[in-house]
Amino acid sequence: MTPPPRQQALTYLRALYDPEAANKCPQRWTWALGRGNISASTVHRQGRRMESVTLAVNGTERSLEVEPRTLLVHALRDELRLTGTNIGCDSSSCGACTVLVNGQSAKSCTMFAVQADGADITTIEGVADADGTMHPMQQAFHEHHALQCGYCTPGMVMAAISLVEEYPELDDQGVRHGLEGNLCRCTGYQNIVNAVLAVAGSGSDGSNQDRE
Amino acid sequence: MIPASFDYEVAESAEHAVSLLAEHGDEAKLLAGGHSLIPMMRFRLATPTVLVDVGRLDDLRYINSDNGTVSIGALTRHSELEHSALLAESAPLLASVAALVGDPSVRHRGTLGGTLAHADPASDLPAAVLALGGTIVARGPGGDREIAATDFFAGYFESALADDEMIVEVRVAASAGGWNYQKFNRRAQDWAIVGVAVAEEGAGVSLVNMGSTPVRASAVEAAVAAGASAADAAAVAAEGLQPPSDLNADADYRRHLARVFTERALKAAGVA
Repeated sequence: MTPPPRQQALTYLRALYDPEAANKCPQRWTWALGRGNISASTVHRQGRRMESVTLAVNGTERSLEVEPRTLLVHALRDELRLTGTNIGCDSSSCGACTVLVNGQSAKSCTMFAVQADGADITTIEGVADADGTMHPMQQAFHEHHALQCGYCTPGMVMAAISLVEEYPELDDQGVRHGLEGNLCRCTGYQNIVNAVLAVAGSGSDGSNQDRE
Repeated sequence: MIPASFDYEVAESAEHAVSLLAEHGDEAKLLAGGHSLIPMMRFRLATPTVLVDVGRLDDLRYINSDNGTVSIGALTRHSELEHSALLAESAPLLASVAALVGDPSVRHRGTLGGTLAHADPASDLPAAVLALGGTIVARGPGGDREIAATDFFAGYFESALADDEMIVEVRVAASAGGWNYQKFNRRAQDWAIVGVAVAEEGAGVSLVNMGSTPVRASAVEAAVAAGASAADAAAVAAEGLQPPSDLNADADYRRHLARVFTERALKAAGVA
C-alpha cells in the first residue's frame, strides 16, 4: 500500500526534511504543508510589517527592529553581532545554537526573535565574569579538555549550565540523556560528560563503563 | 532555511487568539512553543501568513487536581509536566512521558496543547492522553467544548479542532493505578518508531506511530478485560492497524515492535 502523501512528506521531514516530498501533497493539504501558491504569496508578502523587539542580552537591554520571521539566532548573530552562538543543523537537532531564555536552555534556531521580546537572553559571551574569570562550566570544559574542534562548545556549555540547574542530582546517564539534544560531531562526548559531572558535583568519575 | 514571511500577532487572551483565528481564517496558525511548527516553516512545509502567538498566555500554564480530575492548562510546557510533584502523584504517566520528549531544551519550549493540536501520530504525549482517556477542552467563538481524546485525532496532523478553535485545557482522571510507557527509537531525542502507553485505570492502551493518528489498541484492551495474559493480549496489538513504512521501519516490523513493546508495557504496568 502506498502511504498517503502527507505521510510521505512527514517521513521525509524526519529524514532531514526533503521538501520535494511535500510537492506531492494534494491540494487539501496545502494549508498545513504550504504548497501550491508559494510564488503568489511570496509576492503578496513583500510589505510585511517589522516588529520592535527588546531583549535583555547578557544583562544589557537591546532594542531592534526585525521581520517576524527573523530567528532568534539570526538576531543575535547578525543584528547584535554576538557570533559566539553557532548555527549547526538548522533543524533543532544539534544544539549548537543553544542560549538561555529566562535562564532555561533553548535552541535559538527554533524561536523567532519576536517570541523573545521582553526576555532575558544569555549567550556564551555573557557567562564569564567581567574580569574574564570563566564560568565554572567553562572552566570545567577547559580543565577536562571537553572540546575538539570547538564548534558545538558554546551550545554545549549553555545547555550544560541549564542542565545542572534543572537536575540537581545528575549522574553519568543523566548527563548523557540531558545533553542528547547537543551533538558533537568530533564525538568528544566523554570529556564533555566529565566536565559537566565535575560541575554537577556528583562524585562520579564520569567513566562510561555502565553505559547501556 | 528562513521561513516564508508572515504577520505576527500577540494574543492577549485565549478569546483574543480565537478572534484573530476567526479573522484570518485558515491562513493563520497558532504559535505556542513552536518546536513542531517552526521547523516545518523553516523547510517551507508550512507557510502560514499570520502567526498568532499564544505563548505569552501564562494563565493557561497550570496543573490542578480537584475531585479526582487533573486539569492542565494548554500552554503548560513539557518541562513543567516533567517536574510537577502534583502530576507525579496524580497522573504519573503524563509526567513520565513528558520527560521523554525531545531533549531538555525542547521541553522548555514545547507545550501540551501544542503537541496535541499538532496531532503527529509519532508524538509521545498525545498517546499518553489517549491511554488515560483524557478530555481536550477547545475554545471557539461560541465558547468552550469538550472533545474526548478518542475523538480528537482525525488523521496525519489533523485534529477535530475547527480553524477558529484553540485548546485551552486538558483533563485526565487522577489515577493511582499502574502505568507504563515504552518508547522505541534508534537515535537519542528522536521520535518513537513505535511507542506504547498503558494506563491501568480505564485499561487504556495506546500506540504511537502505528497509523495516521495515535490509536487506542482496542483489541489489546478487550483481551486484557477478558483476563488474557500479557503475551496473549500483546499478540493482537497490531490488529486492525495499518502502520506506516518508512526509513526506520516497514509496516511488518512496526507490527512486531508493537507486540513486543505492548507485552513489556502491560507487564511493567502490572495490568496483565
